[in-house]
Amino acid sequence: MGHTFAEKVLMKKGALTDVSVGQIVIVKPDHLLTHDNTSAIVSKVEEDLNKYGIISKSLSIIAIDHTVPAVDEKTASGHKKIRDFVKTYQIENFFDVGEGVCHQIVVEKGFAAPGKLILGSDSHTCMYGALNCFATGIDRTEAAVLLLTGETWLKVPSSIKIVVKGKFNTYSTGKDFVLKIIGDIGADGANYKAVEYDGEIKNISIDDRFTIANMGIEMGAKIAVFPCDEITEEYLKGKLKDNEFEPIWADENASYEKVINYNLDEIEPMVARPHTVDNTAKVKDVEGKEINQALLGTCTNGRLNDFRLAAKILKGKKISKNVRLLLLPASKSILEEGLKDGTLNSLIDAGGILLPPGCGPCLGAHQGLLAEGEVCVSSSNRNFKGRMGSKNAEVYLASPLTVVASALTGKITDPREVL
Amino acid sequence: MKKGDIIIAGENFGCGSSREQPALGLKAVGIEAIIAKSFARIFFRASINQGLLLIECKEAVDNYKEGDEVKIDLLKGEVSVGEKSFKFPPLNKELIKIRDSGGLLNYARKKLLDERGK
Repeated sequence: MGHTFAEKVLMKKGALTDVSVGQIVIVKPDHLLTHDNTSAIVSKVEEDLNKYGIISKSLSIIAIDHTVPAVDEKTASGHKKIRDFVKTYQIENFFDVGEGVCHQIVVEKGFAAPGKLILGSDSHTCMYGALNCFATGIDRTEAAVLLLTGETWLKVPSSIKIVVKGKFNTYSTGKDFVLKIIGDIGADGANYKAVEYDGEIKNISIDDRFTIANMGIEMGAKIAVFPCDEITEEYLKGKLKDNEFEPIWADENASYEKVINYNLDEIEPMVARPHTVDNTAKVKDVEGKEINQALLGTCTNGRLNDFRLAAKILKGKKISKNVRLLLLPASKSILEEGLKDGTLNSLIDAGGILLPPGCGPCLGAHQGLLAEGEVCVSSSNRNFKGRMGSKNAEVYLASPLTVVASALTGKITDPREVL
Repeated sequence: MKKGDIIIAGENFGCGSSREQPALGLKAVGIEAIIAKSFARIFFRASINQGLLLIECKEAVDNYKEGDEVKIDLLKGEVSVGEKSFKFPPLNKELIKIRDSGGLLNYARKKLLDERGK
């Protein structure tokens, strides 16, 4: 019997000749990602760090991104503590306020490469599966232990294969596709499992792959992974230090719990209605709902291509006067490129408010939270009750196209109406 | 809640962010174990790493009636609910070691002490 992607990575990283589903494997990850929570993580093991030091200066990737720039004294102190830690232990990979969302940094700066194992103390660490990584979220205690020992445990997951054919229409994106899947299988539909995307993936752009992998956790998945192909290699060009990587992919006779087929031609614009990501509907079935805010960006959909798609709809137009449109680039380099090529400028002209790269409103940290009774259409990844401000606010998740189509009309709008 | 209490829960228990506070909190108020139909993945990890016992057993949850006494036999991989008992897949040896150390951090500390002294 052949092995799945997850089994092959864990065999390699655990130096084992065979593994089976459910087995616990002790692994040494290639990288450990932590963000603003680094200060809390370090606090857990301060004494141990004094005694033993950290295991490696290059293991950690630290980005301050959640509440940037600091919103109050408490967050400022947290950030300061992280900078002190970075200095004391000479952490090599540190990204301070303004560099962007940790997940975008990991892919942009060449830390994520095919076949690598990356663990991070953030749910959306699974995004690097887009680059053929085994990448998954862990908790803070575990991150603290990794700083000290460099190793932890992973359970070999069972796998689901999602096979695609065809390609997206101009009005549909990877976001609509992943919302469709989550709606179909549920928020726990891939619980503990590895999700492999296969088939005509050459028709899925790298940016769409990032969005799809990012939201793997919203179907419960441990990892969501794509094979390494020409699109992956093209993206990695010039990003990796040594340009050496070993792609891994499942054997043809690997065993899957489930194989699901999708035709991308049939994917329609989708939303996740409040207050769970699997509460999905077609945009056309919720059209007309009035909105107060539209959030375009985040690590889920804040890349240059997302802003370009948005500009296709908004260029030369003005958004509804009843809507606040927030623009949240996933990184500084996206911000710079988007200003250089005029994409962000045209969105600002249309009425958008540019926020510094980071997480901010997505998780309700600051900069654009919602009042009671307000409604937001967001290109982010979660719409849990109270996540973006008031518990009595509503967040609809959608693609960048749907977000700006809705900002334009002031109501949830199918992008086909305005494209 | 009191020390030694067991929580009986439904599907995808603990779904949310990667924060470990839910697991920490439940451990702090004295919860010994949680029996659920299924757990959210990161919550599962966080709980094991805090030394909280998690058992996935759909039948036990379905058969539980308020007031039933619930007992867990780790070695046998058996949970009894009132008069009935149900099997669950036994926990892996490494995970039992982590739990018995009182969580991942204590487990790692013991290991560091063994390997590097001080």
